[in-house]
Amino acid sequence: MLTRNDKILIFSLVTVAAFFFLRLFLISGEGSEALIKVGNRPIQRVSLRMDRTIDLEGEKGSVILEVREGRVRVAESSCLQKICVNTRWIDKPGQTIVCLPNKVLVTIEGKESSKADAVSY
Amino acid sequence: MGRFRILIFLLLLFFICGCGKKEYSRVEFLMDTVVEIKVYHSRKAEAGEAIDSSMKEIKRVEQKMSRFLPASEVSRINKQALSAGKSASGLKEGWIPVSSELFSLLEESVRLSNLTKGCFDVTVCPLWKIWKFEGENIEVPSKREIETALELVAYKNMILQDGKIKFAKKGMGIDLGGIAKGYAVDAAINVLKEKNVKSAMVNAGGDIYVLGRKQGKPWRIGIRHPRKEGEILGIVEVEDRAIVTSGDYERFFFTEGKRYHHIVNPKTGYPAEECQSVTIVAKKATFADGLATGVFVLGPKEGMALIESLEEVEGVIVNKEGEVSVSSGLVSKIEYVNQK
Repeated sequence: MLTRNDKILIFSLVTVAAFFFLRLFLISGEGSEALIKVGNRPIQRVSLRMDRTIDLEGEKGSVILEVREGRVRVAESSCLQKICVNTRWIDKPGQTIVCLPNKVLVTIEGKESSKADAVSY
Repeated sequence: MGRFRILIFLLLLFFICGCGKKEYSRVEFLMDTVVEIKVYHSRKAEAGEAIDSSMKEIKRVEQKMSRFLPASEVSRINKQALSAGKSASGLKEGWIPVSSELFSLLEESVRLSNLTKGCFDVTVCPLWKIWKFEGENIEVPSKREIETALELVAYKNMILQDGKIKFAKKGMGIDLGGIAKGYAVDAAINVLKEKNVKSAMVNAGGDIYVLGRKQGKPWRIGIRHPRKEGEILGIVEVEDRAIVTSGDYERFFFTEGKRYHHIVNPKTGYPAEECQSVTIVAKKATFADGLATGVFVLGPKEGMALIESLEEVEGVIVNKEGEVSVSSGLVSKIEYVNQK
């Protein structure tokens, strides 16, 4: 009853569906990489799967990042107010840590699943 | 016939699966904060060019309006105002020429000052100089210092006429800190519009404008919880609107058990204490920025009455006890996430 063309159709549909399902599955979920910028330059992209500390030279002094169990935080910073340190751990795509005095920006990459597109503050 | 059907079906499928507009974004440190521009566009090159141009526009505004850059127009005016009394300055009776762009912005500031009964005031410069929130100072200025500075703070003593500015007292100056970020956001959005962008967001340190809709839906903008770092109080759905928040949590210091933050009441010379945060939703970020500061100083009751009296202006106020009030036009559009 199924013609050859019908079979091709079903096969293509399933393939395309599987592709998009897989893509969705792979990029949703927790972020696995963080992008680090100092000033307006990207410095490095780090995997959150490997625990470590990263020493950065910010505009005003040193900033130390810590990666542990899929999360990242600023462990130490030379800045005065320590807003970056107090932001604590981030692990979800779109989340950021900013140190304005040192011009350090850490962003978790991946598809944003957070409830808001941006936050007014 | 069958092959055709397959082809059409596959084509349709690809269209549905996101061959439309893609998101392009960039983040830069500008205007003493983090600026993010996000554009939805079908062409990568054009999106990139639009983002480039609007980032450049923000840099241009910063270079003109910042009080901290010695070469800015605002710095030049403040310097000339100091020497205005001296005949050597060559200025007739203290009039200082102003560019038409800055002149309009100063006129807008005066409108905001009138609306907020002077609670928003661009002549706060002398107060900023003694509080030094931008520096590393953690000292409260003496009562005398504040009294002296207050004598030089009054927008009514700033006279604007025919593209020129004059100050009634020597030592006065302007500080556009309460409005410049909003102005830069509007300027960046204008550039994006010129580049034919239909869907975009410009976010300069929490001063946001959203252009059009985001992939067919309104943008969802969170309002920061004033007492819980990293948490959202609620979310509002908006399109073609500016949303700007003034909060007491941004720049502050503790001394002798008391918290001093950066929104200084131009009438008392001390930080305003009636609110924790004020969010304004309006058609222009410039207006929203100035109004958020003015309403913060005005206080929750009078502030909300002002918001309600203005057309196409909505707002959310968190008072000093942490109680949230929402303007009538926003009640149905806010989704609470973390109210208490």
